[in-house]
Amino acid sequence: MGELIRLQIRQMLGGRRRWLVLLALSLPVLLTLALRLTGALGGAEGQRNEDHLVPALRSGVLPAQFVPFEWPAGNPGLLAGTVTPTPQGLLYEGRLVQTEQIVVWNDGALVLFDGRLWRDPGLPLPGSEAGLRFFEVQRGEQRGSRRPPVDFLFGLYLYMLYPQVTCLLLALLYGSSVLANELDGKTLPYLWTRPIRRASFVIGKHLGIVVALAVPTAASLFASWAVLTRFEHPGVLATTLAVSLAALLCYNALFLLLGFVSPRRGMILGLLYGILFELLLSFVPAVINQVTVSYFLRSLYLRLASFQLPEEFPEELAGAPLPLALLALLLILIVPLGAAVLLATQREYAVKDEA
Amino acid sequence: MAALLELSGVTKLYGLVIGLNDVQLTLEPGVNGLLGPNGAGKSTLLKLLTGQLRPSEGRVRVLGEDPWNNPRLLARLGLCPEQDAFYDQLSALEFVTSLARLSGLGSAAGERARAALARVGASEFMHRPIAGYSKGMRQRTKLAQAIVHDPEFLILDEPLTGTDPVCRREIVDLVIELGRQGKSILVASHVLHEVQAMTDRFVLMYGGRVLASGRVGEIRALMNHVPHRIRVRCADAKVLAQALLAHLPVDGLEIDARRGELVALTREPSAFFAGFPAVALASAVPIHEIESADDRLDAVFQYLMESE
Repeated sequence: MGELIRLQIRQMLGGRRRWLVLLALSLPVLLTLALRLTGALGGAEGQRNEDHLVPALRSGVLPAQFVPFEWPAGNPGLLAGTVTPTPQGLLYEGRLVQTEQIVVWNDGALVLFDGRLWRDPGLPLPGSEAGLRFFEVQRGEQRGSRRPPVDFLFGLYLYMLYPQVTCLLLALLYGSSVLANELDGKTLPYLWTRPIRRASFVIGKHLGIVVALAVPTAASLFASWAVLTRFEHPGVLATTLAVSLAALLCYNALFLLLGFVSPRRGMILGLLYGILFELLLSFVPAVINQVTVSYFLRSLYLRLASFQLPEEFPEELAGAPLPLALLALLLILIVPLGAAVLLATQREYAVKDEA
Repeated sequence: MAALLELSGVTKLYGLVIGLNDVQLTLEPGVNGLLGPNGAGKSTLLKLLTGQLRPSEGRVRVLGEDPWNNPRLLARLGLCPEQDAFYDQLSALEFVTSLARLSGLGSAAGERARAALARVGASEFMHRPIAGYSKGMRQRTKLAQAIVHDPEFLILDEPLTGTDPVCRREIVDLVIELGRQGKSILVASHVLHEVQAMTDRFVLMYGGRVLASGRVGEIRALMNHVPHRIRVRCADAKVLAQALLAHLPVDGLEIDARRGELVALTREPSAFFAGFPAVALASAVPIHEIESADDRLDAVFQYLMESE
């Protein structure tokens, strides 16, 4: 089986789709970098700023780096055009923010303190609405921040990028077409006329794909994590790595089975399944989402990470306890592989004749 | 000793299309040719023998065993497939080594792959990626992977396709040498003279059926209702033709006087050949060449196909 794994990895490294994989794994890093550079992500630094800044402001001390900030005349849209200064105070999103309040925007780049605006020249002002985050405290008493813990936000972001989307797509790309590639490439006779069991063939191919995808996925994830958190919150990295591996193992087993059910249409079937079940139904907060892989992957993620969940987090999107999540994912791995082995031993998969 | 292969009432259907039709065939160990035009059912037969397909009806046995899902048997077989397909990014050495490992050669795989590639004349280019190989190089690489694990029974599907004369000669010599070493080989081809150089034992297929099997002479003997054709090149075809008609069992004659050739048709070839020297001597016509055209495989094949 070791040779099958090695051969599969060699095929993938030299195959035409490797560029697609490179692109798929570069995009999350580039996206994270772009969000970080535009200030659209709060990030560890912003959270730290706010955490330090708010108590200081509450005690009546404005840090020395702040300089007075005059709101641009005509509201040129620096803050997405939603903040309007009025004689009574600032009108934000149609709501009047009293001048006796302390308001901190964008990780501490801009604050409303002592009745006027101040900015920290060392931090960028947001260029988009997504970058404008609103954090409100009343002098002397915090009015219950609704902002979730930062490691939860980072985890959610990386989970969505990797196990939920990238791992799903990569497994779809290779798992559903692994048999079709051998048939279309007419290389299957070399493997199936060797003294190897069909079970070894199926499992070897599966593990070969997972290993070949896991290594670059881990590298991409590490880069995204580093850009996102600036090397903080290593627990988020470890959890996302573990769940990404679980996602690759489970999704690839499912798609590999679809490829054995229908070598010609495996990818289409996989695409339909992926979109309908894993990307749509899995986010429906009802029992239906419990038939998806995502439900158990999310449950595993949250249980492994032990995040302090925000109050409004819909528990039904990831409600499985750890043992159930692990058992379900194990079954999702074993049952499709077993079915694929059964098909491989019972059905004929022969390449078409040259003539 | 178990038969090399045994097919009893084997039919293979592809939906409504018949690939093989009630095939009965037993072959003894040795070198055999499998001949037939494209679409005759040769590839279907080879896929059944190598466990890539299962018969719709009937029984297939290779070296006494059912080939479907049978790794133990597959360890004793070597297949050089017809398809010109590889993992192109690999070199021939990597490709053959990898398949040798899958055949269970373990740490010896690399050494055995080098030896197999050397045997087919591929040492020179075996480190380069297969993607850049000529057709001949690719055929040699396919052959090397088929023999790397020293199989008892080697199945070659159109091994000479696209090869140049030198490569063809080397492959033919290799097959003959392997045959002499006691290996059993089944060579499938649609080009008759290619296989004739390797063996005189054939299976003839057409339209999903086995038309005949055995040595060329044996096959010919089965068709006594078809006259044998005996070609004679001589100094005076007209005079010789008269003598043959008068004294030998001849059913018909074709004469090409200008080229000094005649073809005699006879249903009693033994009597014809026994009496021919005396008749030729009596006619005083110098004889340059005499050959039984029916000993040539293509003639036999033509007879069989026409009679189907």
